[in-house]
Amino acid sequence: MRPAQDNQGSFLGRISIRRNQFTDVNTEQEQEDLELFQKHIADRFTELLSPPPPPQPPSDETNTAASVPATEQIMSVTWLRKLMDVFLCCEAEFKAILLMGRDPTQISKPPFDRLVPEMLDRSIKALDICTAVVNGIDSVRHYQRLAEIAVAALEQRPLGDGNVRRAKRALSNLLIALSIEDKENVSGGGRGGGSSAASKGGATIGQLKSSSWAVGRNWSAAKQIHAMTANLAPPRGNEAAGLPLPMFIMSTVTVFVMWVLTAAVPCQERAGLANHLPVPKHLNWAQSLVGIHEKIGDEWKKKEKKGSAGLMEEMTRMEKLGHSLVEFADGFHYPAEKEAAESAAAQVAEMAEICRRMEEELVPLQQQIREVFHRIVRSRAEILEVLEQAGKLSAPVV
Amino acid sequence: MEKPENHAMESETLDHHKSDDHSDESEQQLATETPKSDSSQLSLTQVMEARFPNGRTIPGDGRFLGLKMESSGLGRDETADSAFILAVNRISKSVMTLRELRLDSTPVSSWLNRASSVQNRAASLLDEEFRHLLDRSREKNKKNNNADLSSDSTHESDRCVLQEEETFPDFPPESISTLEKIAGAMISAGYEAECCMSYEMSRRHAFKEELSEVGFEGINVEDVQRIPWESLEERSPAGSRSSAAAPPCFSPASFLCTAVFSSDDHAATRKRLFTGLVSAVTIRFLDFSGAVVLTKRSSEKLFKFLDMYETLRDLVPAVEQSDSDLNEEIKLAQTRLGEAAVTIFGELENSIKTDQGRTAVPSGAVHPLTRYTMNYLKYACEYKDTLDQVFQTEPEQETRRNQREDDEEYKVSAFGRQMIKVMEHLDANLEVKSRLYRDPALRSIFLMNNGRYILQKIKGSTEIRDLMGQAWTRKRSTELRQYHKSYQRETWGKVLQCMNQEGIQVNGKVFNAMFDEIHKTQSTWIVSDEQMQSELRVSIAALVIPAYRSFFGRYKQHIDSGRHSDKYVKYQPEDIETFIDDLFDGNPPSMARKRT
Repeated sequence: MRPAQDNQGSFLGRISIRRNQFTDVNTEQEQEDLELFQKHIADRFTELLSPPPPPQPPSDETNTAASVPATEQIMSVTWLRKLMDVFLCCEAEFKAILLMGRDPTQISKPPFDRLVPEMLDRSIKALDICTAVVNGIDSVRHYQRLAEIAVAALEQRPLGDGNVRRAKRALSNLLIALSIEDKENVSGGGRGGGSSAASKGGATIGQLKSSSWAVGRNWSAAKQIHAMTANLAPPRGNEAAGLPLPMFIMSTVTVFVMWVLTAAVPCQERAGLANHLPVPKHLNWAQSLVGIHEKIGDEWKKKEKKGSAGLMEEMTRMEKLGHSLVEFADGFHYPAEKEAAESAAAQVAEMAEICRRMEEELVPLQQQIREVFHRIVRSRAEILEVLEQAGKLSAPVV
Repeated sequence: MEKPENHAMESETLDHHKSDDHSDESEQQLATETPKSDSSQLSLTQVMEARFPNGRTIPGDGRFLGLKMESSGLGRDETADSAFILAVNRISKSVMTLRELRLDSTPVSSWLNRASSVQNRAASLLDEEFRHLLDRSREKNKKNNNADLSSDSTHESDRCVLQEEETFPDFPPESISTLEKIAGAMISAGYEAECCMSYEMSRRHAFKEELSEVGFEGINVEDVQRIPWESLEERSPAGSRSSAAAPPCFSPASFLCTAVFSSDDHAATRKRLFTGLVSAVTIRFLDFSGAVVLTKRSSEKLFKFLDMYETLRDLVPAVEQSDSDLNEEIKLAQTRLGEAAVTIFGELENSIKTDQGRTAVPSGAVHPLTRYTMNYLKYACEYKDTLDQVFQTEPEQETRRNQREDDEEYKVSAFGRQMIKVMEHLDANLEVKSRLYRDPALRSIFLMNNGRYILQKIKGSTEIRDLMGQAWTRKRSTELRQYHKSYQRETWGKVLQCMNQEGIQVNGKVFNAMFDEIHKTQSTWIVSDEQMQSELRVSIAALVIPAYRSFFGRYKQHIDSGRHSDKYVKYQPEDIETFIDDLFDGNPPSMARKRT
């Protein structure tokens, strides 16, 4: 059977046949690799937890040394893209550890006969979550367009009643979408899914629901993540020293990343997205991960009470601005009152900036997630191949 | 069509009426006021009339629109609707002009304010009507289709919302023309974003519904692993070969947006919407094919994989014309599907090689493996172009290829070579199976049956025949003839021999014994192919009957003399003929037939 061709080369080609010779050398090398792997994980997530401040331009008076620019804040689109990069790096390193120079029969014997299928099962669930998140980003792009309508309307000079009404309608739709996201079920059809206020003019919320893609009936992102945490426990005893450890680490990282994505982006059915991830707090490599998890978890708890669409930083700001601008629109009477108009204009500019950021980054984020999808698929195929190879090697010759 | 009041909020309706009450006055004011500041400045009316010499004055338009929007809304009267859209367009033009002029005067700003209000309300109305029109046509068509499921043609066109022939069966030309006008009006009024949003929502919804109808409703990877393959097969969005050949679903011209946003001004919009929909469609198919390819490989999945491969290939022209970036992903998905197809085909070869039954098929009939393999290959040949593509990317072992290229006979396609490989394995396997028969004659019959079946299958399909090449077919026919000769020799050789020898008593007995034995045994043998069955019988008869007649004739006097005639020569030549017709029937001969 042909090994899958890709630019990483075939792992089968690198499997050494002289098992006896390399076993001893291998354990030392393996230990080194494992420690390096843990260190890299720790480093990468530490950087994500508190990104280093960018070099201060001398003319920039708004930036203080302690503040992180908004674009790099946790849960911003840019940060999410970095998270994807981190995941891809970790995954590549992990796969190398798992497969390179490894005797294929090793990963088919206990405890791997249980650990590997569990890991593969998790990877399948991760694939579906990736799909759901990509679909969810489509919804976010829709919000972006609504915001853009409002921005364009409110940027009109002279600002007229019609412009303001137009902006208000777009903003109302936006705010309703952001707030009912999790409460509404994705139903198969009908345009009556939205409240009556949203159903006049503009694209209705019901329409948005009915035209967005579902990842299967009765599918729930929250449930999938929960299922992924099943059997996810740190290895004990002598297992802790060998391959089971990086497997546990990688699985934890995967679940964590999927969890973050699900929290950030409006995904199908997130009710009950468990705050509680089984990340062992005492392990070194996991410290930053835990830190990020806690930060996000806090935000999530706050939002869940209000029922909000997603923790993506841009969306949160969009919501705030939206509320404020709707207030402005409600109080508007032609001609515009100077102070109110100026304050509104500043907010409109901020909204415009968010839209610009989204326009730049959302589609690349989608592409990155699809890349993650393909990478998971490829790794899965390679692991399965190695297992098959192991099956052939250990089976009696026919 | 709802009246605007029904869905306008209370305050807004009041607002509208209020401004309407004053509209006459202020509009008259606008029309007649001459700015006091500079006499050289033209009055507003003069400016307007200079720009729009024909048609109503602008204030009139505003009033007209206001009245229209209060009353019936769109969709009832086409001329009134056209007038409405015309008025909207005029207002839009004047707004644009005024803004360009940048006249810094209160009446102008005031007028612009009113105009923006009017535009806003008009745009909302148009938007509603736009969406209604898009959704209503689809729903009407769906009702028709549900009532008339027997009609294949409507089913075909319904199968893919994007596959609309030139006349867009879902949308009558009047609808399209109205849609076009509305879109133009909304865009001129500056409401392009809302227009595109409504359009995209509607089309995506339609497409999603269509997928739901075929049971393909957001299939996820996990489901695909779990669901039994047969139920999944019916649910795929790809066309199935068994139904009428799927017309190209995705040619760019067949997208509705080319008709609705047809003007040159709207080219960018058109492209954007087109790209959006193409991407949405393509990603669904990519997701599905991605999920499907992860499942365990097995032979029955080959054809669905190939269907998906072909669907993705059909998407490429549309994707290339759009601004979407999905070409690489499509290639990747096709590569995976292709690899899967190659693997499945390889497993077919393996399963043939390893098929080792210990029991021979009774009566030398066609082996189930032969049937399965040939039917599979025949079906596979319907995809031969796709399979060619798939196998061409498969690097073949160098030695074999060189061998093949020298050989005239083997100037066949990449897939053809695979077919030949499979056939060779099948032949080898049948050869082994034939040795399970101890009787060499039965062995020959077995090989004849299977060889004939294979040959007929190949001849019966132009695709396979062309694929395998004439030389190959001729070779098989020759082999069949050889088996036939073997059979004759093994079964009838000795029989003929004994008839040629002297001595009626001995040879008569020997003949009778031999013939009875043959008759008893070989009647239970099967030759499935009717023509071959009859050819065999005819050739046996041609061989045996003349010999028997002459044998019979030589000893006629002995028989006529009536002495122990039965002992030596039991049968008339006609009897022999009859018994030969019993052969290869698959049934034990009835004893009663002996004395007819």
